Amino acid sequence: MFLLAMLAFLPKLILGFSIAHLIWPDGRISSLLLKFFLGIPLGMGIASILFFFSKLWSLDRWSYIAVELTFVAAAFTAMLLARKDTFRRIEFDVDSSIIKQNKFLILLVILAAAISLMGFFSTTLLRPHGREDAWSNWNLVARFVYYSDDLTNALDYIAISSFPGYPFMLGLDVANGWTFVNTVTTRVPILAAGLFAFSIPGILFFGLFKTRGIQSASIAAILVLGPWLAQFAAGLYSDVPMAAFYLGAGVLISLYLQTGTPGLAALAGLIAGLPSWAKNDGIPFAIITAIIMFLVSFKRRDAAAIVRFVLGLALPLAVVAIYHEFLASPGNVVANGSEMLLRLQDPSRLRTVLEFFIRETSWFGSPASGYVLILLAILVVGGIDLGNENSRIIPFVFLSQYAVYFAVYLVTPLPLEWHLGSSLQRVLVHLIPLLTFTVFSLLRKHDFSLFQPVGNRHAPHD
Amino acid sequence: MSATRSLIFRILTILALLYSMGMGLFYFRSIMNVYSQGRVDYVVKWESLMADVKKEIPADEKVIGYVSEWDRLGFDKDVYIEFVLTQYAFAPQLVRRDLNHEWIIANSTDPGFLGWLTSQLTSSFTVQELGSGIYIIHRGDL
Repeated sequence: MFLLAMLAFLPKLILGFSIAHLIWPDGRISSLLLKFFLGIPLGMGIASILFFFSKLWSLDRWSYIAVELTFVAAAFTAMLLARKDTFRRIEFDVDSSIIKQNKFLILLVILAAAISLMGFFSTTLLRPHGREDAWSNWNLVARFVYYSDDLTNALDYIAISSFPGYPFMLGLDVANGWTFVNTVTTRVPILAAGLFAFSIPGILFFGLFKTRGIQSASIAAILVLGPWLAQFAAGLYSDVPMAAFYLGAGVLISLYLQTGTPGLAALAGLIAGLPSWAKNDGIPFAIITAIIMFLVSFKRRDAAAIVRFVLGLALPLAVVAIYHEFLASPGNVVANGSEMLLRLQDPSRLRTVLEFFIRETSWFGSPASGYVLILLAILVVGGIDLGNENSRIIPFVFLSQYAVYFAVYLVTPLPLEWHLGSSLQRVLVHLIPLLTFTVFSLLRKHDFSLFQPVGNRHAPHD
Repeated sequence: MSATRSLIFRILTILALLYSMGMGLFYFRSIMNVYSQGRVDYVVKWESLMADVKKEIPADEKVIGYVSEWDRLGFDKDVYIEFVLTQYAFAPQLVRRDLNHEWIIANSTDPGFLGWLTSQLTSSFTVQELGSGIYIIHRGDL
């Protein structure tokens, strides 16, 4: 069944890679590998949109499978035809000399990945249905979608649930997987969660490899593969996919700032828009990244960049707009204007939110591991390099979204301590990989030659 | 950057990596310890219990009633979780905390619960006991 589930998701991965390579036809091996990992959240996000419309139009199982496979084949063929030159001239920028020089660090990355995978799969053995949020929200919605001819049952349930008005990308992905394997099995949501989760170290590694070098990339990947990733991924939460989207957008914006390559702006827009299809929390992220890209385009006098970014954003945001305008019930987190003002003026609320944010951010991780404190210590001791545009702008993406989450809690109409206690850790999950990328983008370049065999110390790659 | 600071930075980085991987191993070991005790996940248990209940209720029944100690004694996290798990097991049939349905799942191990429940039902009904505090109420008049 696990192999069948993997086959169900294979078309999504091909779709994601094909679209990424069509939009950003960079033929370096590091870029191709980055696109492979970016292709996971991208392909899953786009396939969920396809499945959403197929359910709206009440397509039966075989018709949908035919539509998805045709769509994937068309994207793959278009990519091969339009970008065939890039495959003829692949540039091996990850070569054997770099790997040899850093073999100890790379071995540690592989070991960290193995430990994290063991943690993930052992947790799914213990709790195959995930944590409460999985079976009370996303996988429950997935059952409504899978067992029904259309979305009526799923939308009716969401309207009376504890999360009215939420989009349900992850539920659609899971129902899509069940449609391919033709049965409801826990293997499908587990595999979907694993794919999203383990795309994160891949995106982080190759993103930092391209912007900061292999040593920063390896160290960041080892850190991000800490126990929190396995635990939250095995919880089958939709917060881990959010983290993959945020990180992907951050990496692509960073690469755009470094290279000015037009396709990167469009691809960044597409990935920055998809989290708003996974959870409402993604809507401010799309706005923040659009504002930042607008300011960058203005400063660089490169109007095409913001146009491309907005074109990328347009597909996911159009679907989100259709969903909210015609199908979704009103949400329960944002209150009306006057109530919000009253809450903003209440100092006790500010104190409570501040206390929770400081405590949960500092000791983030499960078991509480102080992940953010470790990152900050590395940054403080290692020193900050604000010498390039990249390191000056990327922190704003993280800080703005963090500030938005803080503000949402300040005005939430839900009982404050309950809301913070039940969701803040998961909300921080969205931002932890992006924060890791931000910290290593800000960090001054170092020679981590303590990791080298003595004979190789003269030639670090960083 | 001074040599001392650089050395501190390298040592800090190595410690951070070892700590992160050590925590990963510690997490894996603690999960395997729990797993080796043969504990069965409560969602799996509930799914198995509800599989028997589903056999007794027609699959084409769109909405099923649900009643538990939540309705008699008020909200409690455990009874809430059992309600959501019942919905999880029955989807796409909707499960509503409401007695105005032909088929109702009643859930309580308290001996006084059934007496309270019968006093709430005004018309004729049959009760089928499935064990583990689960009853199926069938109201023929609805």
